[in-house]
Amino acid sequence: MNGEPTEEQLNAMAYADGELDDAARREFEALLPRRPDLAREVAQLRRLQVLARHVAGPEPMDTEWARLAADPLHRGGRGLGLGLLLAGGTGGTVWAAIEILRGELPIWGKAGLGALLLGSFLLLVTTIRARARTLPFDPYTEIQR
Amino acid sequence: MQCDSTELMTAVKHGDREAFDQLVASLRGQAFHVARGLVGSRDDALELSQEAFLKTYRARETYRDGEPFLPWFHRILRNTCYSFLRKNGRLKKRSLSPRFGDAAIDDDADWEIADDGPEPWAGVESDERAQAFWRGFNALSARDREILALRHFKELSYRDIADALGIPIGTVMSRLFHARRRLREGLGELMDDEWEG
Repeated sequence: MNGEPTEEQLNAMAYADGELDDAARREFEALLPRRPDLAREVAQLRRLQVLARHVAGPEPMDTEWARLAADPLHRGGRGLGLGLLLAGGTGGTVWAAIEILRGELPIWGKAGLGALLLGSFLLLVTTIRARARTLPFDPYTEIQR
Repeated sequence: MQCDSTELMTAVKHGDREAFDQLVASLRGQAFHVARGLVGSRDDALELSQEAFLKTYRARETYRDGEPFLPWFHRILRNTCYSFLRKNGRLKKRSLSPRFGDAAIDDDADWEIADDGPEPWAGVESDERAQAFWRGFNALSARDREILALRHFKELSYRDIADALGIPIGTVMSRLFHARRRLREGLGELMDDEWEG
């Protein structure tokens, strides 16, 4: 199964890919009725081609390339913005946590405010992370009015 | 295609900016499919393809006249994608392969890509077969993904794939055979269905 392909297997692949010349194609087609293993190989390769075509999706449109070419700093700017936002959020949370701990609130007050702060920070981070990961696949960002 | 692109790149090297625009227009679809096969995300693939073209333009002085352009460009594209994957902690050496040397990106090496990034079908209407396909595809090595993307997503001929990767047609067939075999194994029952799209 994992060894080197035989010449017949390579021919089956080339046949399924339309890469055989006329003479080789006719010769291979004459062989097929007697070789169900090769016929199955060809059928599976064709099934794979259909499936791959189905999932490949369209190439980017000219407008997408043009938009990208017009904005070469897009990736860097987005990364920097996200980094600054997270750094600011982290710094602010740490600072606020220290202020709460140093303050003269009762322990239950500190615990409540600490939980509120930590919860808000976690929500911010997870929301930004989830959005950043799914944005490229959001079908609604490509709607043009 | 190889001759055209080599001639165009030679013209680019000698200052023809329009030749570069033609080169980009003729190759960007191919670059996109390869990048998408490697990194998964459509947006990342788009930007990495663009980045590879920018690097190509910046490196035009180092291009040797008459050198086949497509393999040269594919090395730039591949390394651009690898750098991106490495920054995201998704590029790993294949532990069982004897071909690996040090940690530097080795053009001839095979690389494993950890797919903890967004799935290509996430957020879009899709079906179970597409999801199963991408799961199987994403389990493959970088080398397998690259050749499958050129053949199945861009639908290049064996000759064009050989030109793009700078390898003989026999090697294209052998690599394609093994990559497809691994993909089919990964797809399992999907390949036994009677589904025809």
